[in-house]
Amino acid sequence: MSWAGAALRESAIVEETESKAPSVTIEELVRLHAQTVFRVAYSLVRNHADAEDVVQETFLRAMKHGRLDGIENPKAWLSKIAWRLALDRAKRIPGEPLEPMLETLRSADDSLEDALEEQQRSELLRSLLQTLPSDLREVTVLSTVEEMTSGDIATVLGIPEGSVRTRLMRARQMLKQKLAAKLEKK
Amino acid sequence: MAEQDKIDKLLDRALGEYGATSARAGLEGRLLARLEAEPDRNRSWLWWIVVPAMAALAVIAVLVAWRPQSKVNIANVTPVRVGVPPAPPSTTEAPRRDWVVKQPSRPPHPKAPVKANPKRRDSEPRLATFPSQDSNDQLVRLAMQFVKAHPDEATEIVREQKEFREVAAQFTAPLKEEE
Repeated sequence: MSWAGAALRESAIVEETESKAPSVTIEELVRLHAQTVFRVAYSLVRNHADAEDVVQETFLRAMKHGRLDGIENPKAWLSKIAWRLALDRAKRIPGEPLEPMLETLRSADDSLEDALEEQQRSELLRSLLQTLPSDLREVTVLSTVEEMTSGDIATVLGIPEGSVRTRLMRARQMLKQKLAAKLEKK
Repeated sequence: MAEQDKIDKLLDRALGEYGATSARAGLEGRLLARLEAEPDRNRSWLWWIVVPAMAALAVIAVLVAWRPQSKVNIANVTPVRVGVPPAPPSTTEAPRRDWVVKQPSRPPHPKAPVKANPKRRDSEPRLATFPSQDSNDQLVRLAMQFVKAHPDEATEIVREQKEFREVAAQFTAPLKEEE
C-alpha cells in the first residue's frame, strides 16, 4: 500500500466525516446554554424578570445572526451578548432591585431563617461589590456563575485570560479586607 | 488565622450563593416558543424569488456581453423564410417585404420605438437583431429593486452561487477527464 493511497483514503474519510457533522441549531443552543445565559444576566440585573428578558433578547439576536456553525465557543459567545444586554438593562434599573425573599427560597426545605441569612449575606456581598473598581467587580460577578471558566470570562469581557486571574485575586483581597473591616465594626 | 479562615469561608459562601440561581421552570420552552413566533427569517422564500431573478440577470448579462458588435441595417437585408426555397432574384420585381419592419435609411435612433409590421406572420421567424426587450427590462427592474431593498441578502446569494459553482466544478472536472 503506497503512502499516497493511504493519504487519499484518509482525506476521503475526513471529508465524509465533516459532511456528516451535524449543524448547530438555535434549539440546541437554547437547551445547552439557556441556564448559563440566565445566570450571567441575573448576576447583573439581580431579578428574574429582567434576567429572562435579557435571555430572550440574547437568543433572538443569536437566531438573527444566522451562521451558528462557525462559532467556536457558543457558551462564551452567548454570554457575551447577554452580558452587554444586561449591562444596558442594569443601567436603566433605578437603584438596586430587591427581589422578594420568596424568590431566594430554592426549595420547600429552605427555612425562613436560612433564607433571611442568605439574603443578608447576599446584600452584604452586593454592597461590598459596589465598592470595587468596575474592572474587578465585573470579573468577580462573572466568576460567581458556576459554568464560566476564566477563558469564558476573558471572552465575555474581551481581556486576556491572565488578566482575569489577576483581577480575581486582587478583587478577592479587597473583598476580604472590606469584610474584615465590617466584621470588626460589629 | 482563625479570623481569616472565617472571612474566607464567609466570602466563599456569599459568592457561591450570589451566582447560584436558577430560572423559573420552563425557561427553554418559553424561549423556543418566542423564537418560533418570530417572523420567519430564514431565506427559503427568498430562493423562489431571488434565484430566478438573479439567473435572469445573469442571462441578460451574458446576452449583452455576446451581442454582435456590427449593426445591420435590416431594411437592406433580404428576408429568409424557413422551409421555403429562396425565390430566384428578379431585377424587375421588388423583394417581398411584407414582414420586414419599415425603417428609414439612416440607422434608427436608439430610443425610437420599433413599429411592428401588422402583416408579419407568427410562423415566420424573428430576426436575431430584434429580440424583444420588454421581458428582459422587467426582469432587470425586478432584480435591481430586490438588490436595492435587500443588499445583504443579494450579496449573500451571489456569494453562495459562486461557491456552488466552484463546488460543482470540482465534481464535474473528474467526469470530464474520464470522457
